[in-house]
Amino acid sequence: MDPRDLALTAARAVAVYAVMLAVIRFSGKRTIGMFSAFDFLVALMLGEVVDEIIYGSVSMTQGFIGIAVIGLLHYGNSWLTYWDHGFGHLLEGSPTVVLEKGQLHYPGMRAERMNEKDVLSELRLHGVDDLREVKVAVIEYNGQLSVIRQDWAEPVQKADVGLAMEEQKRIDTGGDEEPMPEHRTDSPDRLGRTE
Amino acid sequence: MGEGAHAVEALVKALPIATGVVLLALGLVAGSVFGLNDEALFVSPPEIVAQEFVRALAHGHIGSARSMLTRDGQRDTSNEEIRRTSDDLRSRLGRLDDVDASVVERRLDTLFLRTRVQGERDTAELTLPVIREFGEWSITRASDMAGLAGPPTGA
Amino acid sequence: MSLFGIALRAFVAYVFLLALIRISGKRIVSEATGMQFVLAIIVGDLVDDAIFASIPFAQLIVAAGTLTLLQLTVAIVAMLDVRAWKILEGAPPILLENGIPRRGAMRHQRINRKEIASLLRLAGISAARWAEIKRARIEEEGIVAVMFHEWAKPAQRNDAEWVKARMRSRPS
Repeated sequence: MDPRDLALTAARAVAVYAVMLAVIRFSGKRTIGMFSAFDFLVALMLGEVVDEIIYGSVSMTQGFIGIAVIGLLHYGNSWLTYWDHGFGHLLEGSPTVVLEKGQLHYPGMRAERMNEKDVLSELRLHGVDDLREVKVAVIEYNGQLSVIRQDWAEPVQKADVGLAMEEQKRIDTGGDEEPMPEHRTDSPDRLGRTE
Repeated sequence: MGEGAHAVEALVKALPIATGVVLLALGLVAGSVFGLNDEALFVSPPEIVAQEFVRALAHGHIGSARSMLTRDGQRDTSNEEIRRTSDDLRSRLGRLDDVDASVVERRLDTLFLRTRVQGERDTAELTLPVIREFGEWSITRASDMAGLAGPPTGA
Repeated sequence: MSLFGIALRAFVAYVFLLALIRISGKRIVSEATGMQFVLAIIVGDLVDDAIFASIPFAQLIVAAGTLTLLQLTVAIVAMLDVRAWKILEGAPPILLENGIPRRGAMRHQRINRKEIASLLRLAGISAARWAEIKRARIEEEGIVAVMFHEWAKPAQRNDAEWVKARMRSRPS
């Protein structure tokens, strides 16, 4: 328990904290937003490197080079996914439909390795007790299930009850009740379906 | 954002409490090491120190190996000497398979640990003297780092 | 190495870390749960060397303690000073405004349209309803904070009263 060693450890911890804070800030959403399985792996890798730095098994230079390389690779990776020329699908997968118009979609379930019980359990967690209420249920990039309800199953909005609000709605949506194709997120091509 | 003064208050109070916990834990460990003369619980036992030292040498982690020497040892032993021993060991042993250390002798303050290293090519035996410094076991300056490894014993 | 030693060190490490975590609080510590998460991984890593006595236990205490104190300090500074908060943790970016994704914010966060759609679906909002959104921000770990236009908010009791009143006043 050499006080010099302990002081060194503390100093290294400070340096590591500062660097990690910077890395996280500049990696942007990949750390604070959608945390995919890959992001998790990268976090683990960084954790390992940091551990070696703090305990002094590697020199600071070596350690920070390790962090820099992993960080830059991940940064570049996130740019590739952003530009989305097929890399997104390669590295992070696509959202998978598991339920559509009240019917379980078995190809999607198989792709996500979910059986009926899994899907129904997730639906219950979303407060769905009637499958027919569901327009589409999708496993998203981060592995969670999203549920889009049928229009008639959506909660009543103010615009549905109050005339003044209806006017405002007409102004904001430009009078279209049905969404234009470019507004849709749940059209087949957007969901990355090939069938 | 905007969680109010309560959150800040809680945080500001947490800081000294956390510092207190850290100091308390350090005190506990120090008490155990220096007061109760713990030499194997909150401090690496001498066998582990010897093993880690040899591992560091076998992997070429000069800095790491150096930090396991006593203060005098660190002052008197140059990086080159350590590197020479490390290179010697690595070229003899190849990839490291296993390390095992055991206390063979106790002379006054110094423990001697026979450390057997098994590499893919060869086996070596080092005798490492350790003393307690700042409560920890550290490897004293051996008279000759290069000779530590001893004669080849054959696989 | 004594098994008792391993067990005792594991116990002490556990209690020590538990104390630090409880003192730090849950979300109170910092809004940047990303950093929380990474710190959790780092400290978890530091612990095993201490449990197996590869390093002196005091090193773990100093390392974990320093990181925790830093995290607390940063959180305090961020909460007290808005500018510091923006620098340290970054303002939550607005990704969607009035139903239209904001390109600048998207590029800055490197989120493409598909991912925005995915996040909004997780909030139960299909693309058809994007026009209802006044503002959508990313908060922590995939949670999107959506602010609807007034007319798109769920009907409240006073709205229902309004309808009932109208129906009562209307001669059938």
